[in-house]
Amino acid sequence: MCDPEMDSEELAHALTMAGLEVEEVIPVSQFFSGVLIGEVKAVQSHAKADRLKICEVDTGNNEILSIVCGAPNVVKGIKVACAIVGSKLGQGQIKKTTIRGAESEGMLCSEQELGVSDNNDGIWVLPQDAPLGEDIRSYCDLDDKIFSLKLTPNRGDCLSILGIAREVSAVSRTPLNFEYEPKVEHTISDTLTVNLIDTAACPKYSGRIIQGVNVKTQTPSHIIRRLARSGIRSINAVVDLTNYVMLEIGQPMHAFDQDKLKGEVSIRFAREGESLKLLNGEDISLTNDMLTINDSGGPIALAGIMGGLETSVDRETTNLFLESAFFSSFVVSGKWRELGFSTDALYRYERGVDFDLSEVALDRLSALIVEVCGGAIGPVTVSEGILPKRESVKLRVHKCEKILGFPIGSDRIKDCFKRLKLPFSQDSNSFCVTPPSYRFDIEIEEDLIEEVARVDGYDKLPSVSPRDSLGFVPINQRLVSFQKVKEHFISRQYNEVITYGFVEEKWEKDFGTNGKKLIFLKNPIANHLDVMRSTLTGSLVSVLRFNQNRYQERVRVFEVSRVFKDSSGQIHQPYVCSGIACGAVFEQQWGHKDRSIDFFDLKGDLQPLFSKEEVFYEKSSHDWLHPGRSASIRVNETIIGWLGELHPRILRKYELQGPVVAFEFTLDDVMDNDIPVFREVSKFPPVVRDISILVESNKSAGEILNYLNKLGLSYVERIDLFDVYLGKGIEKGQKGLAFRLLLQDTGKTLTDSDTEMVIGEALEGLKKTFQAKPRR
Amino acid sequence: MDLQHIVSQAKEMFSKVDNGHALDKAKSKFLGKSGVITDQLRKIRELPAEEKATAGQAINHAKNQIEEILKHRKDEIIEHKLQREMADSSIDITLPGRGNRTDGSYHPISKTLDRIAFLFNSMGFSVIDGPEIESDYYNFTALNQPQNHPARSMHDTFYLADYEYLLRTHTSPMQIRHMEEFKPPLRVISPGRVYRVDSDATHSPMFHQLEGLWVDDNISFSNLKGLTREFLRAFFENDAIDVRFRPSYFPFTEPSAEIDMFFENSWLEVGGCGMVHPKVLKNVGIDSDKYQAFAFGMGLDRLAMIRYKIEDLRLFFENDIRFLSQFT
Repeated sequence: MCDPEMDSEELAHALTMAGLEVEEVIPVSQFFSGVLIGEVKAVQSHAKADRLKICEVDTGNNEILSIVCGAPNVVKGIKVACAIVGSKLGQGQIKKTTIRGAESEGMLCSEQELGVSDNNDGIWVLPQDAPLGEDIRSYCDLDDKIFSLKLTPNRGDCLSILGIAREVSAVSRTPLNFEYEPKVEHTISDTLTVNLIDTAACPKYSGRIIQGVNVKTQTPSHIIRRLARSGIRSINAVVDLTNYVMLEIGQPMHAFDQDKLKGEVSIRFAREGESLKLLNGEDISLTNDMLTINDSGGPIALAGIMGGLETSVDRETTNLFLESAFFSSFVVSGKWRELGFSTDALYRYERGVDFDLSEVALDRLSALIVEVCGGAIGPVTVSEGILPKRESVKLRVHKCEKILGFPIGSDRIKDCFKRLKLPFSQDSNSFCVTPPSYRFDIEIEEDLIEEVARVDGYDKLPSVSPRDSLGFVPINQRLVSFQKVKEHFISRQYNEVITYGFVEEKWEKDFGTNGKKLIFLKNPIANHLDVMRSTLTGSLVSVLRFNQNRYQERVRVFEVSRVFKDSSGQIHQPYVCSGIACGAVFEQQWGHKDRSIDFFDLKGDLQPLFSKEEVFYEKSSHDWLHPGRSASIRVNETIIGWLGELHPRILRKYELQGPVVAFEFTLDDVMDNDIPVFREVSKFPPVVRDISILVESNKSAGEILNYLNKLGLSYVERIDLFDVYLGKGIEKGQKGLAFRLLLQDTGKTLTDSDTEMVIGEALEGLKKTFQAKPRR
Repeated sequence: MDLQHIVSQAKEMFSKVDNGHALDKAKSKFLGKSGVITDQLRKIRELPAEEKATAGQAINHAKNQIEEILKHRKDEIIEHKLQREMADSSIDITLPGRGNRTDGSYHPISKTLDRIAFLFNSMGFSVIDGPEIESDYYNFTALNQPQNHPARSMHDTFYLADYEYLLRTHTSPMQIRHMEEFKPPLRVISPGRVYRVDSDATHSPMFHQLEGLWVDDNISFSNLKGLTREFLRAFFENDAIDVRFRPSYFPFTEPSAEIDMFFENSWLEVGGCGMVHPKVLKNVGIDSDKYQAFAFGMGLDRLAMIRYKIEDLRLFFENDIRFLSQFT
């Protein structure tokens, strides 16, 4: 339809740059030469080999070749692809040889040997009418190349050879040769009455009867070949030709067996309770949003999607009723989701079909059917409702230039519209374009601007660095905080990981809060990955196991990610930071004693993050943590996370080498944007005093330290817990704790009585609250 | 007695001792109660009056000399001792430092994102972040893809089972959320995780995108091309990189383009972009005759793969620490 002076590569590039992305260009066969169509005249068995046969082959040049062949399907009388002496196949050349004593003057080829298909079951048997002696490459169009195009959903008009030819014509400035005038004369007068009931859904329905066809006729091989190369399987001549015309000009059509139709045809939405058995054998219950073709007995086809089985063309069919209709896209859009399948017709109607082309398509199909299957053609009946309005769209030259950012000028715009054959009118500074019947993507000015830019060539669009007045960019404090948290763990040897947001249900049960509502995916990528995670721990356990299985004994990883939680029907998506670690606390070395990472190493990793906050580490129970070696992290009144050693049961279940420590905390709760306020630094000497006490061993040191810190002791700058002592010299059930206090005043040097008063107050408080005794 | 002789005797004697104690002993021989110099001083009394002054001066001079020598020797001995002690306490400085020798690492995708955020920041873009579980409205409808729009089939969407929500298939919903909240002019990027039902060597069901949006009264398609080119050149630190726009289709931009980058002798697709569709601007109450906007989306994972020469996307999500540790 359009023959530009371009080779395949240039054409592919031109199409891609016009917005029809060419994904690949594949030759239909491998390179070979000198393979001719031959006829097997005689077959004898090979005297010395059971599997081999000696064939006499005629390749049309008055000479009978003797060829040894091992294929099981070689018999007298078939037409074959014969590589004669001198042909080139792959890397090699066919020579006259002797095979187990018998001379062979060529080779009979399989489809695989010629790179036409993967079929290697036997030699390639050609149709009986294949012309003797013709080069197989030209007979089977083996020099063709298949272009695979990835079309965007707005370009339904390019779902046909005609549509693509139109684009090629526009971009290559080559004329388009396509005859629009219907020209088939009818020879009989039979018609079928069609009643359009839902005219908005089906604005146009063309039909025609053809009588006396022979459906058993073989579809011409070049048509079967073209269909196959487009991914369509041959079914019977009528169906094949229907598909062929659809590929050619984009109009989906359907052939009913006229003798199976009862009464008049009507097009309406289905009624609840109706059902239809489709061509693919599926029985579907129809709903009132499905448009149907009906005869007097009810639905016979699902409009724009698929015909019914009962009225379909079979081998005995002689009379046809052909349908070439325009269904509105809303009739079929999204239906593939409900049906669970799509069809070529649905795909096209969803994107829009050229409503001016239905009769042309019907004529083309009728002519082909009569040519191949015979028969007599009836007149075309056209039923029409209200066709889509073609509202003209205005393009202002200055708007076009403002959006594109360069002065393209009226002349270039006009040229683009001409090349696209878009009907337009022009005044001094604007154009008015009427979208043709095949374009459903031209509604607003911007659509035209894109057409102009596209046809003019995106390569002509200049690259212009934007210019603007300068302004400061506000700092996203949240992201800055996240970054600091990440840096913190990285400087402590943790590797950052990224894992999927959906996880195994098992992980949520093992590492999530008890009894919370899980958020399931309707369509998971794999059955077991079907829950949106509320914790990262399961994912990190899985990362840990992956690495331990690869002989990594020392692992520290963390992740910062959103988690997903249901809180009374509302979904919350807070960011959390989670980590997991196992193996030696230090890398193998001389300077430290070798030991495994433990609770306190982990706590030490976490503490600096919360140093400015009021943070409490409290004993708590989490099913996945060691009950005696785990804690909740509380900031003020909010529990923001936990840390601890994994429970031995979890280690066993997930086949982990322990001990393994892990943590998780909510990030939004850790953000600290307070600006520090200066406090005066003392010029007077500090005083250091130690407090040594004995308490019952179940009293927690952290609580005592917190108590001291909150006691409001005068002059105290800091308090450190510097010794925990159990064992020799200490009564059973007791433990010794020692605190070091640093006292200082900004106004004077402290006297002994000042400090004694403070220490006394501290000891008094500890005695009252924790029954602590001073220790000597 | 010859005073100079005494001085040289002292010098010789001091030089023979090598510790403080012996030096004290030697000192007393000259300067002690019965030391030679003390003796000499005592003898002055016996001299005639006119000689006393001269003799006294000479003796005092000798005494000062001896004290000087003594002090010098004392310093020598201390210094010597210090040297010896330090020699004894020297260490093998080639031993590795105590503690851990390496840091952890950013995930290569985070590293890439940080770099991108830094670059866009320098161009006046701020960074915004949004939810991963999204509503149909923000992910599709507001972006000009009403229910049943064929473009929806371009993304295989994950839906939640018991909620009217989905996993965002792109970062574009943030365009809407941001434009709803703030008035133009606007300049933001929004990176993040997105989800599509797709999994093979080049597709991961979760991956990362970077969304960019610029709304202003005079921002054009040519500016978009200029910006993407400058960004890619800065990101890959290569001024030879060329950028090609290829016509494409996104329901929320018009005109639309794929961004191809000419890199190491071939064209690679790195993202999609376009001028924000007037219907989208209308949905957020921005007058499309007054303002123009462009938006772009790029695959973060893809940019990371190109930058770090990683060939298999799946490596990003396997989290093998031997892989991760390469990005310190």
